[in-house]
Amino acid sequence: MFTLLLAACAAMAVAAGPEPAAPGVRPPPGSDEDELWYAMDQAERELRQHPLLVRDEALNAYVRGVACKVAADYCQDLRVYIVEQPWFNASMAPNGMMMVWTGALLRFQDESELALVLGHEFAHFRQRHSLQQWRNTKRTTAFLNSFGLASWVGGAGAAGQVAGLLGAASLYQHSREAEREADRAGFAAAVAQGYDPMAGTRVWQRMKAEEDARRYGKPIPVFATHPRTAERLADVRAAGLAAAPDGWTGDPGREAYLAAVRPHLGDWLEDELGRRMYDSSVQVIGDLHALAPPDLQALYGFYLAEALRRRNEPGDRERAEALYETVLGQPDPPPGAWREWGLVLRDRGDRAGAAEALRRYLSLAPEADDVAFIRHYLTELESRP
Amino acid sequence: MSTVHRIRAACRALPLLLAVLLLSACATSTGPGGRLQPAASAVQVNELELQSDLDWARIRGHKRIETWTIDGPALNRLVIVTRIKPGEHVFLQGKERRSRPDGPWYRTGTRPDELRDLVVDGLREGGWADIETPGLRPASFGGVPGLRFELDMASSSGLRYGGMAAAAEFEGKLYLLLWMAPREHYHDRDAAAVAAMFDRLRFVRR
Repeated sequence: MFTLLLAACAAMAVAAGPEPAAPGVRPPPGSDEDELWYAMDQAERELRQHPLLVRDEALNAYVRGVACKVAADYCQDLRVYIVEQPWFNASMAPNGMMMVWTGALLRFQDESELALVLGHEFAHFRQRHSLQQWRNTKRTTAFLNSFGLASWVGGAGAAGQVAGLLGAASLYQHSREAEREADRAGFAAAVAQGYDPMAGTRVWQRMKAEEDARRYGKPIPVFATHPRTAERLADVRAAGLAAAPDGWTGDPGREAYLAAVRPHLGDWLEDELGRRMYDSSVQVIGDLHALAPPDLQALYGFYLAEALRRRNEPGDRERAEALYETVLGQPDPPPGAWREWGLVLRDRGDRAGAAEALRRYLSLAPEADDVAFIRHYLTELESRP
Repeated sequence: MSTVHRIRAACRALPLLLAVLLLSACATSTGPGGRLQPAASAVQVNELELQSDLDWARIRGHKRIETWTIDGPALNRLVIVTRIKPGEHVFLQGKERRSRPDGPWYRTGTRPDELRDLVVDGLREGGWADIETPGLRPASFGGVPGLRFELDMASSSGLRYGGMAAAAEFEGKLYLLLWMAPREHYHDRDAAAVAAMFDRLRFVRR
């Protein structure tokens, strides 16, 4: 049954369009595809210099390893770049430049979810989905925008890069049919490597919950040209169930994934709050907190409390305060939880308790950038009658 | 809206647009331009009086935001934002609206670390990356309690910049000074003089 499914997926993946790319082969010199690759190579040179590029060797090696696993014979054709941007996104340029944003890495729960998304992006490369668009438009700026690259080339900043990518998502990306084809082929590539066939269902359920949590604004940009989230969720669930009729679940790779991302989670959670979209942050971090292993409960609990405190809707403050108190009873609470708890106690009039918590913060984070203000608060707490 | 009204609206928005462009991480260095603000002279920007030991070119972008430079905006920039009202963007790039209630809007009584975050998020919007803010501390701002912090960040092309920021609430509005220059040469050349300028600023009645 499983073999049949893979065969069916593979057959679907070779829909009408250019022939799939062959491993290790560049377009013929002088061809229009060569012209396209040249433009992308230029953009990639810019990307390599960009300050938002995550250069941590261990994390890059891990993500590249997963990409290579799903790309199999095409591994040497791909270069994987991790970009510090707090939104859920990944992209694939036709020359083999694959980008994964840290917002996606924060949201994945295990390696099978990462593999599924990288498999999807790889499928765009193998099926040469970009070539037809290139032939249709030849409008370089619009085309580069479809990869969020015009701003890399033009030297605009992070906001420009994000705006370019997000704006382009509604303007011009892969067609919905190409996205569906990449979904099918990416699923087949990941499952062929033994990954959990239900990974896509989990990813898209959470993405839909995040989308639904937003009470304002446009749909999450990554979905703008992709098939509707609900439709996509139904497709991946059907494919997952068909691949696992006898209960076979594959390998989620949760431990390996958490080991790779754990050192970066604090920074990514700070970036998540920096988006200032607290409804979706409460949803995203709440999901992470609900499913966290014991050693990550305090970290996610603290940042969930921070999202609630900053959103500041009725009931949020009480929930945040309860979370700070809980987090401080768990292993390895972030030092910031002592600061926030100290400020909570100060507001409640518990001067001694507040001072004790703030002193604990200073002892745990003596190099924090706000220690001067904390000392100022301590002086006020200890000097007033 | 008629074409004439659209043109008038665009003309009214131009000064603010200029100021916003001067905040971005990719400002081009086309020479300072602007009006000379000679060293050792006092100047008022709304309620703020500034005294500097440096010669500045003063680029008046908007009645509440100015950019000063010595060698060109890419090489040194002092941004002075005054009278930021509750619900306004920290760099006056917009106002709170129902479709975006949790954006980087200033609110009265914001905690010092949250004011710092407002500035950082505004800078990120302008294209700055890898932003660090060491030394957040209480500091007098024109005679009222305020805050000060240093800046360390990268432009979109990867050039490292240093700088400093000072802010305070005064009569329900936020006042902000932001200075930035490339770490190479320009920052160290002028940092002490700019810090002295921040120390000497004061509020005056107009």
